[in-house]
Amino acid sequence: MDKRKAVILSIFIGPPIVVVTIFFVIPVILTVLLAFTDMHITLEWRFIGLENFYKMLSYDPRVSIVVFNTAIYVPAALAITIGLGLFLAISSIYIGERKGIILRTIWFLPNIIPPVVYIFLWRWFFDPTRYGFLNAVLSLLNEDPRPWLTEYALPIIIVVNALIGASVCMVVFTSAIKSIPRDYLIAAQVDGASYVQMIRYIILPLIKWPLMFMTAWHIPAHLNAYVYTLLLTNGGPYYRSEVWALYSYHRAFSNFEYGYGAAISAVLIILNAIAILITWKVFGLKRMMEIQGGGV
Amino acid sequence: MNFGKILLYIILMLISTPIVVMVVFLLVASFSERLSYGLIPTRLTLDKWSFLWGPIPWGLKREYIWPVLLNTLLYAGGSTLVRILLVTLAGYAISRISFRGRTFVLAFQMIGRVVPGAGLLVGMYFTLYYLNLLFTIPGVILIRTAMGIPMALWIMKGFFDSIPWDLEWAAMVDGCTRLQLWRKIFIPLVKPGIAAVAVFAFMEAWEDFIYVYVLLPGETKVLSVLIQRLIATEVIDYPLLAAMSLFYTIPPLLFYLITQKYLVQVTLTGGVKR
Repeated sequence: MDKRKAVILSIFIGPPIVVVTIFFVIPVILTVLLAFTDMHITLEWRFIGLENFYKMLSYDPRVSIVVFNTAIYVPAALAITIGLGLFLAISSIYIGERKGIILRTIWFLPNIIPPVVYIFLWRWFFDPTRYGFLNAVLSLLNEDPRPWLTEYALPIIIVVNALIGASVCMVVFTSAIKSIPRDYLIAAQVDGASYVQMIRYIILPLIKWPLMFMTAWHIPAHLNAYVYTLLLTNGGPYYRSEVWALYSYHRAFSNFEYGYGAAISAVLIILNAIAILITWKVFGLKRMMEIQGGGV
Repeated sequence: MNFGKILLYIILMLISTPIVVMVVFLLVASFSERLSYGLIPTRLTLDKWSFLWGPIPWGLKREYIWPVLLNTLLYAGGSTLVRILLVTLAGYAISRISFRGRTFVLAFQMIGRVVPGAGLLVGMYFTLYYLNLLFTIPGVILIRTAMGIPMALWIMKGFFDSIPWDLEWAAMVDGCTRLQLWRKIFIPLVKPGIAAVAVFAFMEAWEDFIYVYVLLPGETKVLSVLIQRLIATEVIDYPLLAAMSLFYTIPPLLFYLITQKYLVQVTLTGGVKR
């Protein structure tokens, strides 16, 4: 590379690289470094080796609950995300163009509404008093109001988080299905295949890659997601809906145990790195880009 | 119509009910005095919109929405400007100049989408603290820009890719330098791309919650944090919150409804492909 080219390049891609390095790469490094300190409210750096990880594994009583919740939350949210996304995509095509657009518009809404408003709406839906939707329906049936968010905290946050993912999957799968050549489906129809057979033998095999990619993508996504949970149940009641990523947030910013919070985050970073590497190996960079390009 | 199809419609209607009901609630509640059965207004009124011309009828302190809106606009506007500047420069280089590490820059956008942004808050908090940028709007802007760059760059590159090389060759033959080329030829041609990136950056910042919540002090409220504070109380004033939420949702909603088709395409393909 000659000198002139280097100068030009540094003008063009220098600024973003600097910004990404300082404000993204360094936070990652700092998080990992902090994981080996007992950084707290006094903001003093004191390295304590693996103490935080030891605490996590042996004597922090909340960790087992949090791990248990996360172990239920991630697979369940993933299943709903992919399953519902696929179901919506296939049905929206099956029921015809105009009705399909209405269905997709409704289901795209969770992605448009800002997170705080989305959560406000769910908060109303599950309000423990008669002012909430579910309890209003119950009161029509002469039943007493129930504290939904306390009774079913974990299932509710699973659904609330998964709907956002399903919304994304619906869009990706719809465009993948639409890019299947019409001839295949017409040929199958002529041969007398039922719609279920067409889904099973034509649509699913042909959207295999987007399907797998969305699955691979949503595993870390659900693992990392905690904002909706923070807003809706705040992990409660008594840690019953606390997931791993939220636990890190709570340790760091509610209890000011920055070091311990960072250690919990560091576990997340490692899990993410593994997920990315596996995805990379299975799909290859080029195919990942292509799938993101929305086609097959 | 056969049995299976009817069943499908029933299932679709059932699972879509919560979303539809919520949207109806948002619209109805904001113009209601109170609600019975959670959804039926006792009387229609514009009272709950009084936060637009008076103090917010909540809490003991007299608070107004306009300073909060100004903060939100500063944050969203700043994010937009910084991101556009950075990715229009870099998008050109990645699309047109071949150099080592180009694939890596592109691969980075994959990583950027998966990495736990909100899980890095501890690291971000301390980075800003040591740079004396903690609890300032520029600090949050830079953090969010760094995370948004990969995706924005990907979109921008697509737009640069779609511009024919002939134009560039002609300009170069006429003695244009790279920077002139960028400013005079490319910037006017990638305006749709700039618009797309701008809109995304603005909406992302507008809807942002966790970053402004942690990295900005309590006094510098933005709309999302204000609404969160109002939700996190024992007794929620639903009509008031619905009005404020609607006010806060109108920009993204309008914008998505108008450009829905075009945008989905941009998100998925990263620019207009030929």
